Amino acid sequence: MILTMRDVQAGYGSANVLRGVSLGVAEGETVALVGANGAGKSTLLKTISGLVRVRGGDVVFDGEPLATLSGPQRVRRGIAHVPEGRDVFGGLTVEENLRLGAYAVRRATGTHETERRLAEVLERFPVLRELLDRPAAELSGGQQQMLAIGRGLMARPRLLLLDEPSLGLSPSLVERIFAILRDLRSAGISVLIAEQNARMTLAVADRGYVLENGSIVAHGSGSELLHSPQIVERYLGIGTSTADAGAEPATDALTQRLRAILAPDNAPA
Amino acid sequence: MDAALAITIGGLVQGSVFALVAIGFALVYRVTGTVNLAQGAFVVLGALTTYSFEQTLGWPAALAALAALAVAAIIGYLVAVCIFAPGLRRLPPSGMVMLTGGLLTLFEGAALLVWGSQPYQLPPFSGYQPVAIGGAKIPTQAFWDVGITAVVVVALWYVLQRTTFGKALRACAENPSAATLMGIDVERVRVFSYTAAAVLGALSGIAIGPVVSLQFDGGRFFTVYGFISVAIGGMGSFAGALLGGLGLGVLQQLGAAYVSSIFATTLAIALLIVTLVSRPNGLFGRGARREDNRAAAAHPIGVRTRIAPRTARIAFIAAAAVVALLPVFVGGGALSSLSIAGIVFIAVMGLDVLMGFAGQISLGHAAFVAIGGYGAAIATVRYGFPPLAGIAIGLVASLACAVVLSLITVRLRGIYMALATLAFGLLVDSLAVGLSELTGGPSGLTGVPHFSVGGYTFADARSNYYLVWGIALVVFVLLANVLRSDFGRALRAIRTDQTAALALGIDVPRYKLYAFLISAACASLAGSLYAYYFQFLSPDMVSTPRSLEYVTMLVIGGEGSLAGPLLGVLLLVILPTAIQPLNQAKTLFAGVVLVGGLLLLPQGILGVITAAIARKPARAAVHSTPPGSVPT
Repeated sequence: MILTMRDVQAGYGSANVLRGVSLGVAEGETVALVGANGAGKSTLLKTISGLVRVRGGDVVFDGEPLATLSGPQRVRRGIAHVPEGRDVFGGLTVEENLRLGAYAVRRATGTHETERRLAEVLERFPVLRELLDRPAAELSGGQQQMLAIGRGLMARPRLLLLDEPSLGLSPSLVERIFAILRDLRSAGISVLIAEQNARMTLAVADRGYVLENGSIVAHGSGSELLHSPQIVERYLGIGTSTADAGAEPATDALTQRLRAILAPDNAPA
Repeated sequence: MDAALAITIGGLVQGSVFALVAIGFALVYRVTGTVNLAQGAFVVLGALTTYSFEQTLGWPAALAALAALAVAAIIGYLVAVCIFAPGLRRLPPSGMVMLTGGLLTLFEGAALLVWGSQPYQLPPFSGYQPVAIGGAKIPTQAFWDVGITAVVVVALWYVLQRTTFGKALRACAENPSAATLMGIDVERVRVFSYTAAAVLGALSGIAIGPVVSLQFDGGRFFTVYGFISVAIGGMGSFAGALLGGLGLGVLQQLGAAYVSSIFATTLAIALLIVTLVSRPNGLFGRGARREDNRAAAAHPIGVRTRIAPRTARIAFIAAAAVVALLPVFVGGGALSSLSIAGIVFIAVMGLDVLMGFAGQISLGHAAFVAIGGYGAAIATVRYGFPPLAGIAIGLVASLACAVVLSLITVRLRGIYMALATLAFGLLVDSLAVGLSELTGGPSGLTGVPHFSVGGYTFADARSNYYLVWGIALVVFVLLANVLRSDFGRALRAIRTDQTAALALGIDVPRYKLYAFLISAACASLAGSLYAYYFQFLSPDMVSTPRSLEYVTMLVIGGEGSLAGPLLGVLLLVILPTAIQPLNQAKTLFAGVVLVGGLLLLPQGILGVITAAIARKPARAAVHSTPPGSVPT
């Protein structure tokens, strides 16, 4: 496991957002974190990159506990976080944004390596090549998202944290983002991705965790979760009211139908 | 013609120093979003430490200057690490304006203790012999000053645009949390920029030291002019800071030479207000940083816990009884300071309505105290009106100014509002000194009569005490009732979230105007009482440093509570008179209290008390409910 979280608790002020989360990401694995708005997905990613302090439990990266490390130190260890809402530096050019991605490792790698990585990232995101001198604020949402991911890759991270990369993008751009995700997976980069778009994410991921109210309520391989009735019902867009969610066998029939609609190419086991 | 050239060159010299200060402002503002009101203090620090090293210790000039820069760097670094950076983590932007205002006061107080109140002037870098170019004789210092500014500008431009560190710095300015994710140590960049700004400030002090004489409280002047430069040029824009500074320097010198210095000051401040209102991004328009109102709501300053109405009523009756009975036990000096405390309490209650309830920072509250004071004093001394009419005239004048200022600043919020009120306060300051036929100028206006009404004159200490505190209690009760109504709730809504308040149908501009009028009226009333109490009024009794003191009293007492100001006033008025050493270090004390209060006690003394009272019943309530179980 490159990342292990054990019984992690975290929150803001008096509110506890994470109430004992345990999960793991193996080397080269793409792991999905799904759950409703407010379940604690972003907070979980932030505890890994150091934007939110852990109140209890351990976060261990590559055998080293992260608790005492600052955000910048974690970046140097190889954790790159692509935050929700892109968070590009609007007043800086695209090139400056990308180069800042390698800021933390600039001494270790040297200029030569930085240039090589820049070329590599531009190869992966050709659209950015024509925009290098433009202020990042002038880019479209999709371009900014690619810039944010490219910026994250500039540090050649050992673990990439992606927070809602498809948020607010048109369906075709969402397709594009998930294509990139498949690409990263085949390149062997470990990825932990938080997404509300559970269906597409689980389809790409090796494994997935379902977060609800700050706790992990289910986990399994991507396809297992994709076909679990409970998950389909709660997270794949169509649910029933909680009142009759209990023992009604009809619900099961409904989810069967939904499953068929949502994932026609994967017959239920 | 030669005179005009000489004046213009003088303006450029002064302007280049304004520009240096402004660049320091812009640096801190871009990286942290904070208007560092303490910037001018480093100018004075640089000049005075150089003086001490050079004149007192006899070091060579260059060594003295370098040592002074090192001192500024160390002090700037310590302030950044111990005060500024923790403030950024804990306080909303408006709180940061107050914090840096507190730092300015703290520096002035410390400088007063170290260097006393006399002015100092440095010798020129390279002799007194001027260089003749064309027909004009130009002092060599002019070349030094313009040259230093040019070098700083080029160096700074190079660092920001061409180096990796510069990119990191700009990234922090754009988006601190994303910068952290890039592995940039945001805290270190903030500390660096503050320290660099401190060194720039000290450098400008060393440059201007041979041109003008400086004293302990000269920092205010440079903070204001540096700020005006950067605001005119565009907050956070280095080119704007440079052009704004040079332009302001020339304008200032020409205005002072051909019209009058009061005209020049008025012109500069009018220019600032016009820019803030019409082009908040500045003339050379790099946008100001967006102001995050949610961040402000997340870290409220002020009293958070309300106490039960019954407890409040008992406390009020007890306090009123104490106020009524005190003169039986104390007299003389103590009674006099209690009366002064009562007057100040009236003013600070007004400030609480505006700041604590409506959330609009005012750094110019003393201006209304001045208008009320001078209104009453001038009406009675120069025109023979009875004292009651004097109060009315002061009120009318204050309310008229408040309406005009409010109309001008209606669209401003947060730090812009704070700065517009600061500018207004400075304008009134300069008028109080400048209109000497009316106000008596810097030495003040004497011969103000005691307050009298219906044939009774409040001549002795005890009757004045009851007059002041009687009025204070009436104001308190009136305000308490007004603020408990829908009006008070509307103001709180505006403070929490102006946009949401608007969405609820609250007429935000109108409520802000009302809050502003109430606060101006209280201040004006206090000012009139002040003049009658002392039978005298001078500009420094009601000038901008007093505004910062009122803010200090409000913050340390507890904002948004009406009663909190009383604690703050007692602390800052009574304590220094009771403890003599504290009296000498009064300014320093006020600065320390404001800075410490904001960082350690943002809810104020009253907030701590009410939280303690509320905790007991609350604890019982928590235990009565079972520990929260996670719903499945």
